[in-house]
Amino acid sequence: MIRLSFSIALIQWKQLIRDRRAFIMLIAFPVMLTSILSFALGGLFSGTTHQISKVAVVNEDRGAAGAQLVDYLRQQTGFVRVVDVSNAAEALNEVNQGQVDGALVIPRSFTSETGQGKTVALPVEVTSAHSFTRDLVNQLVSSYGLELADVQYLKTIATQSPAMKSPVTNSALNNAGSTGATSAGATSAGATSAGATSTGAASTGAASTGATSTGATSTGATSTNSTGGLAPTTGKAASSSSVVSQGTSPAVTFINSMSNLRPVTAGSYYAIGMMVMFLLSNAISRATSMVQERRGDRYKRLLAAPVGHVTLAIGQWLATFLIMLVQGAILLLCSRFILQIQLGPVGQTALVLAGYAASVAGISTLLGSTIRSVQVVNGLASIGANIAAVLGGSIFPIYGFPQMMQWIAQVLPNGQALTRLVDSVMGVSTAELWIPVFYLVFVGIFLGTLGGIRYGAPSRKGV
Amino acid sequence: MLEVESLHKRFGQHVAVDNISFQVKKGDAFGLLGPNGAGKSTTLSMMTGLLIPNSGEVRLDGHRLKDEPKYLKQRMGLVPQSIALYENLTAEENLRFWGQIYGVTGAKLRDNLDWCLQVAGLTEHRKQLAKRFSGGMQRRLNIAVAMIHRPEILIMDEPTVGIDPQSRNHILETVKTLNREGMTVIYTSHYMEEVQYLCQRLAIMDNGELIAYGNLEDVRQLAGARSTITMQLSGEIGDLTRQLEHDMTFQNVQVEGDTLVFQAQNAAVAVSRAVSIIANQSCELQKIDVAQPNLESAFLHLTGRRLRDSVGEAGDQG
Ligand SMILES: Nc1ncnc2c1ncn2[C@@H]1O[C@H](COP(=O)(O)OP(=O)(O)OP(=O)(O)O)[C@@H](O)[C@H]1O
Ligand SMILES: [Mg+2]
Repeated sequence: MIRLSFSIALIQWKQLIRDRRAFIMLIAFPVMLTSILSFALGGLFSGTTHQISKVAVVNEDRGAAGAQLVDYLRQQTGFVRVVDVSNAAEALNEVNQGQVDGALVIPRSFTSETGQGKTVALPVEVTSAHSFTRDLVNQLVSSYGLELADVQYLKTIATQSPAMKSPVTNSALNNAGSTGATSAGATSAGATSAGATSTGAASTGAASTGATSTGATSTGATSTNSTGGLAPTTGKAASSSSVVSQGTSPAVTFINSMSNLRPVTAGSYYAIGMMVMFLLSNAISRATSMVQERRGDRYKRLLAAPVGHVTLAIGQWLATFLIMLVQGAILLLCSRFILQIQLGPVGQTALVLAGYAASVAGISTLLGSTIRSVQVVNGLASIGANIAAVLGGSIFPIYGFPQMMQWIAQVLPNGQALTRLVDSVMGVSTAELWIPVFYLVFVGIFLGTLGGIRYGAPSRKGV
Repeated sequence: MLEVESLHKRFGQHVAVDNISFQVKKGDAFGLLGPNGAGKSTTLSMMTGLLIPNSGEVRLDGHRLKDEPKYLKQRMGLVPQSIALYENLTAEENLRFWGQIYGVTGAKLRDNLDWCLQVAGLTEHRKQLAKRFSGGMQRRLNIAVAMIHRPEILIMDEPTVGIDPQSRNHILETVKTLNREGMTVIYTSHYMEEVQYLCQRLAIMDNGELIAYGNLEDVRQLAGARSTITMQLSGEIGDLTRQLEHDMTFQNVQVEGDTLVFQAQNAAVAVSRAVSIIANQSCELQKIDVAQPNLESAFLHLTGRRLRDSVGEAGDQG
């Protein structure tokens, strides 16, 4: 049965690659697209990282942990430039005057409380961003921080400190809650100051202050065998952690993957977003041709053959899967080499791409086997794919979205694929990707199976 | 034996096939004749398991299509009404693929493949892409593909539509040969000449109903149709017309110049009588042409309509 499905997939594949127009759509179009983008949007995709945010850091803590955090922030040169400020009022002033993009206050009790395994709140001040590019880039950085929170590298909850309240800050933070676009300072600062700390608050926690969470801070305290310092170690982000312990002073753990994580450029993000979107709309247009095929006599011939319809549907699914895989790979390769975009490790990228190809093959097979009208599928292709692209974050990064929409984005295969590919760029471990990839494959197989119930089955309405 | 029993199909309010039954014996060439929209393709779709009938059933040697679709499908080969090939694949690749679909592999596939190519007259073109074929060649490949698993029953839905006379003759002769070699053929057409040429038994469909069914001769006679006799004469015709009109043997006597045309129930009797009458006249008989009653006249008789609008468009096969 599987062999037959392969034959069916193979025949479609041959049919496609020998059709010059289809072949051009398959191979040349992605190349052209990326080339044009590279030409038109060279700046955006050129691989330079986002603007570096200036963050005023107030260290009220006199202990080791506070100092280490500051040191740590200083190391994050890709994201922030740390400006030492002596007190919160001054920091706020600088924020308001626009001298810095954000301010972070490390409270007096930081060392002792982290030492006791408590969660410490790190207040962050922000200004609103000025330009679109800045929004964009900062959202990306925000995403970075949120990602880390998701992955639970470190959970230190940032809250809005009463002392830091100011009109600017309030609005900035509130806006961050709804759109995320304005949380420039918070996000950049957050992303670097152990990610979860402030970013989580910036995009999700603005309203919910004082959320509690123990996390790496407390964990660290228990696993104290340490080398000292926050020296980044190499290795997989999730598995490696460096633990700080200096003499009798309390240990604070920052998962050092923070420093291993690479920044994601807007270019990378959009190149991936584009690939994801492109595959989705192509999968839907393949569904269109499936609907057309179902009206033709070749389909009648398949139906007249002693082949189970599940076999036929698997064949369809496989063909689409293969095509999506190739197309996705071409797009990513073009992004990498024409646009000079930073991508994650080859293996991880391939893994997520395969999962995504499975998903879109499922979508394509389901639509192609259940819908009777070409117009309907075409409508879905133009509207549905675009909506999915927006909700999935291909147009605007999803990290700035409200919680509900982020949830939708994670359910959508394109949102999931985008997120995971971006994760991969940042350098998460492969272990982190398995579940999302299984989810994608599951969605693909599930939808494909649903399609298989209809596809190739004798009809009541006529073919 | 293939049995079609009380097949009925409605599309919404429209009855496409209305309770039809017929049987096709092993080795028969069975014709399904009817004008456009009669329900021929719909009937075939139900017979091949593509379309679920509202009622009725199809059986092959006692196996019901409903219960054992694969048993029937494996033994049938469908030639769809339009070309159903992978046009970017070669003739051989097309055949190979459909062979796999029918579970034919290895040496058997190679043998069948050669046989199909030879039957279709495409052996020299086996490596050629189907899209590079002429219309006639595509039609032939379209048929060959349906035979790659050497089915017991070849079901053909208007396989000669829209092709040149040579390809058409080739196809008809091929089908005739296949049938002589023992393959059961179900042949759908709205060309009565084709059905007359190929089939021993037939059914005529109109508006979803079976309006005639039986042996070719029986259906022809159904019309009570007469032979048309045309005689070329020379010399003085005189009152020949009047004499013939008074004889009950002859009907619809007409004279046009040198040509005498009349119809008769029994052509042999009528011709000999006419010849003896002419012998007593001062004219000579040059040429006789006897046209047997045909399905066209049967259809006309049964429905009051012609089977097709233009006669002779298909050439004369009978
Ligand atoms: N899937 C369908 N839905 C609705 N009506 C249909 C469908 N298929 C066929 N019909 C109608 O059923 C009738 C019979 O169609 P069918 O195709 O069987 O005719 P046919 O004898 O094969 O004609 P032709 O010689 O043109 O191929 C026609 O009136 C047609 O419009
Ligand atoms: Mg038809």
